Amino acid sequence: MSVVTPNTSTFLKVFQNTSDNVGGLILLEDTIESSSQNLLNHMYSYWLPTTSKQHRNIWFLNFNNTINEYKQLSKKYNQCNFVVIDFYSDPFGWNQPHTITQGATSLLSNNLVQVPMIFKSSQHDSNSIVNMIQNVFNAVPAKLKESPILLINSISTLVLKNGLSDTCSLIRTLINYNFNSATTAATNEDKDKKKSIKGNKMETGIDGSLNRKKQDKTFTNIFAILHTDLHEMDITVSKELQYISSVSIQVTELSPKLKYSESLPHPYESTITLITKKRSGRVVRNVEYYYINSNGKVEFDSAESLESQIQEAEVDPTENLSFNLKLSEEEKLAKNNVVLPYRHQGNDQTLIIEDPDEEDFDDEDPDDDLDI
Amino acid sequence: MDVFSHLNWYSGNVSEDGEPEKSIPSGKLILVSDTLESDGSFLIHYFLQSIFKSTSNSNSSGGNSSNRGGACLLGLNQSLFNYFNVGRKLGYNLTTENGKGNFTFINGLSTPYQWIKEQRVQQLEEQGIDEEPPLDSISQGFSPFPVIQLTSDKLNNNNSSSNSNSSELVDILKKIYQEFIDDHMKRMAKDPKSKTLFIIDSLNILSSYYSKNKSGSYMDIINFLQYFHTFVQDNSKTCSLVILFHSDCDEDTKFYNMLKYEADLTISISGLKSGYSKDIDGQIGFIEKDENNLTFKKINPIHYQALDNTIRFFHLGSRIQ
Repeated sequence: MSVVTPNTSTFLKVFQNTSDNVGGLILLEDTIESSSQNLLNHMYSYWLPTTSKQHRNIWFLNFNNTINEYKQLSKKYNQCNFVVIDFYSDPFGWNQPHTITQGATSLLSNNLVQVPMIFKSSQHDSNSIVNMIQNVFNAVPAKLKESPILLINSISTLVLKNGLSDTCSLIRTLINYNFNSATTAATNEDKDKKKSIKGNKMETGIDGSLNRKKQDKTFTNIFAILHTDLHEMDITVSKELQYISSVSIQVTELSPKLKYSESLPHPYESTITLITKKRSGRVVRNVEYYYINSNGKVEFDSAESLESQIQEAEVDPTENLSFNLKLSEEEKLAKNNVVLPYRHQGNDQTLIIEDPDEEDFDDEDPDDDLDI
Repeated sequence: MDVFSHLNWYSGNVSEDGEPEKSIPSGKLILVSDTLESDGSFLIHYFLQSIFKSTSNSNSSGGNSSNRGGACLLGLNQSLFNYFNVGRKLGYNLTTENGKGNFTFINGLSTPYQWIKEQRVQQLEEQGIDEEPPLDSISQGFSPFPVIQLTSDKLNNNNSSSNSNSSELVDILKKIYQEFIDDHMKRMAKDPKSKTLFIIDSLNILSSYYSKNKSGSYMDIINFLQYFHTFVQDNSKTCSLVILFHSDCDEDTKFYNMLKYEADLTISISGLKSGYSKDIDGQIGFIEKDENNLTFKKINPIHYQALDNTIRFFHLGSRIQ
């Protein structure tokens, strides 16, 4: 029985920082019924501990969770440090005096001491988000700026607040923007926001096109979580974001066949469908299932391995009977030689009788023979 | 068997009768959703009853147990008269509880004649009469104790603190938030160990206020709940929030789903799938957000029957007569 080991799970491969990684948007879709939280927790266990081999710098754009949950997350992994830009706690600006922007210096004094680093903002439009990230980038120590992943939790809130096209533009900006070069440009041009944005030429062409400039993108990946049950009336949201993503991961409920099956090798929680766009342009679709093992860790099985397991489990029903249902060689030969009716001339042709001359339509008036 | 035993909501102490003390968990945002065919307001009366009972028990046992608390109820669905009468049937008196500081009521509905008060004053001025005798107590509205009024003439004039971005809805939400926090502070000032349960009954009507938000009034309400959730978690030992929401009022379930994502516990009250039953009024389902890993987990549903003075709860299929 072949079981996929964790190293070859497609889901985990997506997040490994290899040369295969195309960069760009990784979209994770889930619902309340089939939540992606277990998978996220699994990824946090790889990324967050500073001792982990797969440690990554994670920048959270928080729209959905209380700050307490991030503090707990940091505590769980030994007070590890990461950046949280918090748009959740103060959406109306009630908690602070009316300031439009927070300069880098005020961010520095307030927030660099605590772990994790939390920066608050009340402005939720796309421009403010980008400016906020820029300010935070300028303020934060270099260690946290090494190949960071931007995790947007969740992008559903952005789509609901700002609209789909605005959110897509924001994602494209975040994918391509070089926040690093903007700092040097800013010091030269007197911190003028508009000029620093123009100073970064953004290439959004297809990978592999001839005139593509090699850009130093700040964020290795944008990892966005979309709750599809918040956009049930509007399927274009999910489709559009899948379209611009490099990897699209959908967590859905198990098919009824699996859900009620009694012969599963593991108690699967949900189905994961991954659509990966390779650098060559090829699009690959993988289906996996995950379950939580006895240690509380997440394990994956691919759909192909499951099919082979189920096939192996199919037993020949003619065995182990007290009477004989099998055919002998002679009987098999005789069976093959039987000429079935309607299979004329033994050529296995199905005979269709159709006479084009014979028409059903009668021009005569059927009431003609009435004698009234 | 009741909701407390099913969800294991106990404070850990034992009351005088030798039974474990029931306690609504603090630091949580609890969403109670109901439908037209199975009304959920019984749960609010049930929670109030449990709070007043456990507070009076802990007061009489010498103040050793830490289960003292109160409730602050925002009535957007029913008037105080209704809660008062139900309370009388269930065995608590809202006036005395208010006197003890255990109950505060914020009236979200308007009082009788409030909307024509200004016109009446104008009319009297034109006629040359300065003052008229005050309305009788029934016309003024039922208020056996001082009640905070949410909508008032003063609200429209008091725009000094709001900037151009706020709208009627945001102003109302800010006032609600402020009132709740003030009530919590007052209770904490008297007794730092007491717990406050904020109750909003119900959330649907708030969406009909004018909102300048281009995504609709629901986004404003969600933003408002975010403030609350943060406050409740920051003060996680001393307050919780219960929201009643009718899930069948909207064409799509977007807002309901957003609330479910926001809530720490969703209690959904629905009718029986098999139709009407004389002995069972409906089914209560639970979705709980695990504290440690933030996953959603479903707890087994239970059946309930709302009788005149009590509510009976049954495990599925155990209602045997």
